[in-house]
Amino acid sequence: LADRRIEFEEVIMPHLAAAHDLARWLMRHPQDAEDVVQEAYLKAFRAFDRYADGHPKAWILAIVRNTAMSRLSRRPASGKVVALHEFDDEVGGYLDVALHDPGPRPDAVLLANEQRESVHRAIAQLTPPLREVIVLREFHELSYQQIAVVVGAPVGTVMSRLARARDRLLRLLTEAARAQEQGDRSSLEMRIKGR
Amino acid sequence: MNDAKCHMSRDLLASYLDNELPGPARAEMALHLTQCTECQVERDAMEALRQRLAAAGPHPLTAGLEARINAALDAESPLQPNPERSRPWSSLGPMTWPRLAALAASHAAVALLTAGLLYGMLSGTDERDRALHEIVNAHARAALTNQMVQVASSDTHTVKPWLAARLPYSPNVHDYKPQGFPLLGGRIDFLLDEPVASLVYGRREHLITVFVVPLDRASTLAVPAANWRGYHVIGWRDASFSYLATTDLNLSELKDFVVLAGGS
Repeated sequence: LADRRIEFEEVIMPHLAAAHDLARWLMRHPQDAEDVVQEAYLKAFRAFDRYADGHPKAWILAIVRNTAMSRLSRRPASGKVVALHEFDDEVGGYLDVALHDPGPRPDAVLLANEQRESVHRAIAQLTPPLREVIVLREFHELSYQQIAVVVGAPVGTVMSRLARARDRLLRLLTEAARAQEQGDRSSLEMRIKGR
Repeated sequence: MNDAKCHMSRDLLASYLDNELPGPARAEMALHLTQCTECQVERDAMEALRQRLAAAGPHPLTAGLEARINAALDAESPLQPNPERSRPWSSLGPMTWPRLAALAASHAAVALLTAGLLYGMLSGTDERDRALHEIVNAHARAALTNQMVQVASSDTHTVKPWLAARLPYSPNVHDYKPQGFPLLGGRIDFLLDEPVASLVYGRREHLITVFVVPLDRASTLAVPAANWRGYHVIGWRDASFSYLATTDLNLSELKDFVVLAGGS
């Protein structure tokens, strides 16, 4: 049994960061995400006997996803609507920081943060089925086949969701950039008029 | 060749960009891409998106989450302890186990205990639990009372005779300092009223104790490894002795140590 624990630590623990990220994208709440990861890792450990070979990362991520889904389905009805359409808590937090706390940070850092925020905000606006495939592909480098295992859908479905996710992300990011530009211009105009 | 309406499916292009196309189709798409403006535009957009996503990156791992999960896994220990059954520290009065464990952990002690004798005398889960508790407790008590070593020396020729003079056997003593596990010394512990040799090793701020028991007292070492109260215990044996290691060090490094010491 301790051998099993050692093996678990070597085979499954290295994917903790990916598990946590996936849980964050699905749960949209830091504490909920951590709870999901812990529950998933315990489930995985108990089922580790039956885990033969295959791809350990896809295996643990599938368990994380199932755990997240069953928790989301138990959330109050209003919570479900929030999960589908509202921004992530953290993204909201980013936004607040950007708006209210410009601080003494160097421009380059500020710019990198802004770009990171706008990308995360765009991903958060995707519906969960699109969000999870793009996260698994772009952040965690899973193959189509592995994504299919994690989300429990055929490879063809994974491909079409990826295509839709990318189209939508491109549009969201373009819109965000345009809005940002207009915002900058109008605030500049206001400052000029004000003088 | 500027195809106004490209015949290639977008899925095919995406598969190509995702490195999911097999050889022949891959070559065909590479060729097509040199000729089709429409696909080139699409490719550039997808590459730009990929770069933006990569620059943003995933959520960083929360500090403490790994420790939290390890603690939860520890609670899944194969040898579920029953606190009602063991009262190891009557002499320590109101000291509770969590306090004891916390104190011992703050001493960062790792004890490697040879307790094969325990398993020769015991059978069944209850007895195994008791053995496990005694092993971990012996380590925790030594750390708590600052008595990890009774003979403090990194010299195997000092530690071995000291132990041999006080026991009916002479344990093998090795130093693993070059490998990052320096010998700190030794002590005598009593496990189930039998004296055993205990060797203490260091690992950064952590300590390791190894208990060495001759095979004629070890009988069968039924449980090679376990975890209790956050302490890992791993047992193994060679031609002369059986060994038990217990530690609050992470499992992976303890395993490295066990391999060094001749276990597997």
